[in-house]
Amino acid sequence: MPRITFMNTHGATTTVEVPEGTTIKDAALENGLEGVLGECGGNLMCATCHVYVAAGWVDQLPPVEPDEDAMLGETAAARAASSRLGCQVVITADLDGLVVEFPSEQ
Amino acid sequence: MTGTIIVGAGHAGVQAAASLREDGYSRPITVLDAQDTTPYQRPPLSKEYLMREGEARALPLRPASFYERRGIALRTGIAGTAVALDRVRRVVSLATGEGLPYEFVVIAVGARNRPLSVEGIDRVSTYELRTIADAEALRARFASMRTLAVVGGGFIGLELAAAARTAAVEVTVIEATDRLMARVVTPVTSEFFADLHRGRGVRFRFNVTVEEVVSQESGDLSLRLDDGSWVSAETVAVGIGALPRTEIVEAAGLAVDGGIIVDGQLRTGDPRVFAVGDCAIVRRPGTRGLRLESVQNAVAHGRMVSRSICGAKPVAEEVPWFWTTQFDARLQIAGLLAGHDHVEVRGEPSDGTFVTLGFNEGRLLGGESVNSPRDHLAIRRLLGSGEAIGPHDLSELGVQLGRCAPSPTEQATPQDHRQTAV
Repeated sequence: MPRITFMNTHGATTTVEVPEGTTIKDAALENGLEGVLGECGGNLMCATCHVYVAAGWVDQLPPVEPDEDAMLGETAAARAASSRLGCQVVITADLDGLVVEFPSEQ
Repeated sequence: MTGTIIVGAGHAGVQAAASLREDGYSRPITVLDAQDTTPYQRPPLSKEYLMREGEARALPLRPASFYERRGIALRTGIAGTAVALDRVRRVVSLATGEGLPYEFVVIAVGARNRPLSVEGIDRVSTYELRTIADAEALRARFASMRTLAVVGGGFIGLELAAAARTAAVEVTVIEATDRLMARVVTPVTSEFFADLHRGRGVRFRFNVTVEEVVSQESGDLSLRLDDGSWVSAETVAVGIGALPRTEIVEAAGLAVDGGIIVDGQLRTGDPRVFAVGDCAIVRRPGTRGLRLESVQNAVAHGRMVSRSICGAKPVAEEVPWFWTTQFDARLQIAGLLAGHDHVEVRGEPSDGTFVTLGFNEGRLLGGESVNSPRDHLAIRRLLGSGEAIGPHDLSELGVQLGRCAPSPTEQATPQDHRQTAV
C-alpha cells in the first residue's frame, strides 16, 4: 500500500499506509490525525481539508480542477502554490512516499 | 470545579467543545452521548458509506485522541446518557444514576426520525437512517437486496434510493406531495432530480401516502397506499423527516415550540442553558424562529455557543448552505429559498449543470447549483455581503453558465420555518 507522510505545524511527522483510492482527507481522518476536518464529507463545500503538498510533489499530483480552485480561495489558512483540498486528491501507487503538511487552521 | 456539559456529540456538540477550547475556556468540558462510539460524521452514512464494500468505518468528527488532548471528557453509552436536567441544583442526571454538576450546559441532542405511524407498522421491521447502526443495518442488506421501497422523497430517501439503485436494487420511492424535496428546493430542481432518478430506473409514486403495512408469506412487505394501490418490496426504508428532540429541556420547564427556543446567542430562557444544532429553533425578535437541519448550521452553532459562554464577540452570522449527492449529481443550496416568488434558471437542466436563483420581491433569497460548485460559492459570497441583490445585479454573480433563461414566475412555496438537509 502507498505510504503518505503528514507533517503538522510543529514539524512532527506521521507516516501511514493507505489503500489505493483513499483520499488525503480520509487518510488523515482514518488514522486519527488532527490537521484536517472535512466538515462537508468531501463535497467541495467547506474547504476544511486544506493541505500543503511538499516540494517536489506538487507536479506529481493530478491538476487542480476549476471547482477545487474556487474552493481553495476559501481556505482559513493562506493559500499557497502547493495548496490542495485533501478530499480531491486520491492516493495511487504513483504517490507512494507523498508528503503533505497541515495548515495552521482550517 | 464545575464546567460546561455538552449533551450530544454530533456535529454541533463536538464543534462546541472544540471551539470552547479554542476560545480559551479553561474549565472542565464534558461531552455526553448515548451512542457508544467515537463521535462521527453523519452525511456519508446515506451516501458513500452505504456503497462501501468490505469493512466500512464511520469517519470520526475528530480523531479519538483529540478529546483527551484538549482536556475534553467524552462519556458515551450508558455513562453518557443524560436523562434529566435539574436547573435549580445545576446538575445533569445520567442513566447510571450519577449527577454531573455544571456551570453551563449545551443541549445538542439533535433530532429523531419522524416515525411512519400506520397500521401494521409495529408488526414488521423497516429501516431508517440516522445513526451508524442504522447505516450498517442497511448496508448489510444491500448485498442481497432485490427490491426496496423508500417512503419519502426528501434528501435522505433519495440518497438512499440512489445508493440502492447503484447496487442494482429495484427501487420505488413513495412521496406524499407532487414533487421531490418539495420543502427545500425549487420545482425546476425537483424535476431535474426526478428525471435523473427515472433515467437510472428508480420508480416514483407521487401524491400518495402509506396507510398500512402488511407482511407477506414470502417475507416481502406490502404497502397499501391511500389511492387503494399496493407497493411490495423486500425491504422498506422510511425517510419522512425529523423531529427535534426537546424532551429533556421541556421536562426542565424551558420553552419549546418546534424546537428548543433560543435567542440569537443560542441561550434558552435559562442563562446557563443553551441549545444548538437540529434541536434548536432560533427566535430573533420579530421572527417566528428558524430551525435548520444541516451540518453547516450545526457547526456554526457550535462556534457561536462557545462565544456566548466565553462572553466573547459573536461570530458573524453565516449564509446557510446545504447539499445532497444523488448518483452523479451534486446539489448545493446557498441561502433559504422558502418564500420565493420568482425563480431564474441559468444553464440547461438537461445538460446536467445549472443554477437556479430564488427571489422574493426582487431580492435574492438563495440559489441552487447542480454540479457547479463555483456558482454555489459565488452565490454564497453574494448573500454573505449583506446587500440586497436583485436580478439586475446578477451580471456580477460570476455564474459562468452563459445563457440567462428566466423561468415563468412560480408559486411561492409554503412558508415553513424548517429546512431539511444532511
